[in-house]
Amino acid sequence: MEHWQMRIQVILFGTLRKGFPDHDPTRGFEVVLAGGSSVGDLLDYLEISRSKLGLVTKGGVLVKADAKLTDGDCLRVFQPIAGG
Amino acid sequence: MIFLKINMNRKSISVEDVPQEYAGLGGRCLSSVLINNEVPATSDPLGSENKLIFAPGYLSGTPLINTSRLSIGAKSPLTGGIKESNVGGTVAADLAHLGITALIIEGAAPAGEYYILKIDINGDAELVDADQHKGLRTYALVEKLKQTYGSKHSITCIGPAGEFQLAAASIQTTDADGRPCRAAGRGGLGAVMGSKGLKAVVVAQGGKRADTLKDAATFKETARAYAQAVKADEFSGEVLPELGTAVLVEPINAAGAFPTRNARSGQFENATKISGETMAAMIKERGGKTTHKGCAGCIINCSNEFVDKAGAYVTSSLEYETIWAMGGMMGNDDLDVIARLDFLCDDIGLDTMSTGVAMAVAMDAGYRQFGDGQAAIAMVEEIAERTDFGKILGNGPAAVGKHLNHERVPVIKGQSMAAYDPRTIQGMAVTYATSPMGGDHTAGWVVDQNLKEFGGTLDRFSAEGQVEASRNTQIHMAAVDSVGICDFAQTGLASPEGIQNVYKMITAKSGKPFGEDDWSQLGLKVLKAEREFNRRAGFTNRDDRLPKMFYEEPLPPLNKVVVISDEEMDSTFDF
Repeated sequence: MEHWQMRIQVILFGTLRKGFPDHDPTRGFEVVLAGGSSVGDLLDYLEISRSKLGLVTKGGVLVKADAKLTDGDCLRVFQPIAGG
Repeated sequence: MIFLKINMNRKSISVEDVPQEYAGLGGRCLSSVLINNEVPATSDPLGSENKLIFAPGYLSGTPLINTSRLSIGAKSPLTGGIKESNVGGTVAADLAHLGITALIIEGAAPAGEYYILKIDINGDAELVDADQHKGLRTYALVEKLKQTYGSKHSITCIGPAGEFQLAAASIQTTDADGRPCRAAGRGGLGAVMGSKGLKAVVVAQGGKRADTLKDAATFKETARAYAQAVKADEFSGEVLPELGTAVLVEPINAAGAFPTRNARSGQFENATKISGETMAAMIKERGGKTTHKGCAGCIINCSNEFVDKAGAYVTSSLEYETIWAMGGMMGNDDLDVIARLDFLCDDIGLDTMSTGVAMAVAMDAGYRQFGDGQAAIAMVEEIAERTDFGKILGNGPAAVGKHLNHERVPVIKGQSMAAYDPRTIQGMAVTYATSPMGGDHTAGWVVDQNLKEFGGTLDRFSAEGQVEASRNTQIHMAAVDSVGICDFAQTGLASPEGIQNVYKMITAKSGKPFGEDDWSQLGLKVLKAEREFNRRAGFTNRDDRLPKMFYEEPLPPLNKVVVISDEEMDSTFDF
């Protein structure tokens, strides 16, 4: 683990916002993580289980759990979707 | 288990036991097989040879939750092919409780004559002159019919658009609160109902003549297990009740697959203003309802009641596809305008998807400005006023494109695409192109499989595996639409025992063994009948294609095009 830290903006969607009273509907909230953290590390930090997770996007692109984060990233986190 | 046949030429009604060849069929399977057998494929969709079928699903009216699904079928004036349009509300359960397997509307009343088909609690039916109701919009019509017959009836009806026999006309049916806000929108079946001279079908609720279950104890026990699975699932148990289908706006937009401004972009910069999250907060603040039961026997409650700033009812239910068609597709970010347009479409009897996309095409051609909500409201009113442009708009996007000499018309077999751009979810290209229904999302929704990054199996930008995924989902959905399980209650199917539970309930109702092969055979029977009808109606492989905009115009911001080849499209079905 690297010793520097980075700030990540996280916006949660659907009912994932429950349990995060500080979540702003448009800006979400900011999380401080250790440098070198991945999307998966962020989800673990937020205690969002993989079964509750549909997709994560960064700048309009889907990212996988092992994708590395960089300082200032904005991530959008969605639940699984179904249906039509 | 009876067919109620209504001949609109003779104004006669006959009751017959379901013939052996149709025994055990329901919903889409019954309507599509009937139409393929009995309607001349080259006939005029608005002529007396066409038939209009109302068929509850095979499991409608049983103790299983979320099965008040009605298949309405006919030859479509929009696509020129066979059509099944699926709708919820309460009518499917009510027909099934009267032991009615299908209503079959034949012939046509003389032009300008309208009738109401009234079915009482004993299942006795009569045709009642509806001259006094001519021209009424659906909300006013339903109020009058409830005054005459009492509120304990389901009402399935057309508005002015159906009377004008426009190709985007819907058939509206009442929800659990008795409002005509549930739409069999696709395919222009409201025009077929109008051509028959049928203004409304009024069905008594609370019938006691439902089909006997051969093994009621097993059925009930299995239905309980199925309901528990639907409740336990996060999407149907938590997300849909809270946010409804509008929850899809943000993720589909984030994935670059939300067709915006007549599909010139895959992302709408103001999507957050029309998202499910924003809508739910707005409804709650204004005193409306976010968790609302729309259909009989529903335990999901994905519906909502949208209210204005003063807290007064505007519409129910504001859904993802409508928010897209009346929002992103037109570049409109005003939820109040979207809600008003939704209400107007329900009231005039119009498909929100065909109407929204038709307006997006008009805006793309420069007829009006993208994002001009008031212009959109005025255009929809023109349909009811029957102005020259209103007549064109009411016939859907292809009619508008032709009139304005505009090439960018996102229709397949004459019917508009839905709210998933096929350039960034390639599997939807296969479904849109090859479904016998024309552009349709419910026929084979392969969005989740395409999200490989998080649990899906397919690369959404690649052709690999897309044909197989779409084919399998289309077969599966044809079976789902035949047994009459709500699309969203399919979450109960997710586990292996989930689909086994469905087989078990079919067996418990029929007394005959039913398994995995039978499920596939059921779906295939539907698709074979539908494709056979379409072939005889003149469709060829060349109709199983998308408009060239999807192959040639890269979709920003991901700049992808459809990469499924013609050969791959043609390999979807070998019949």
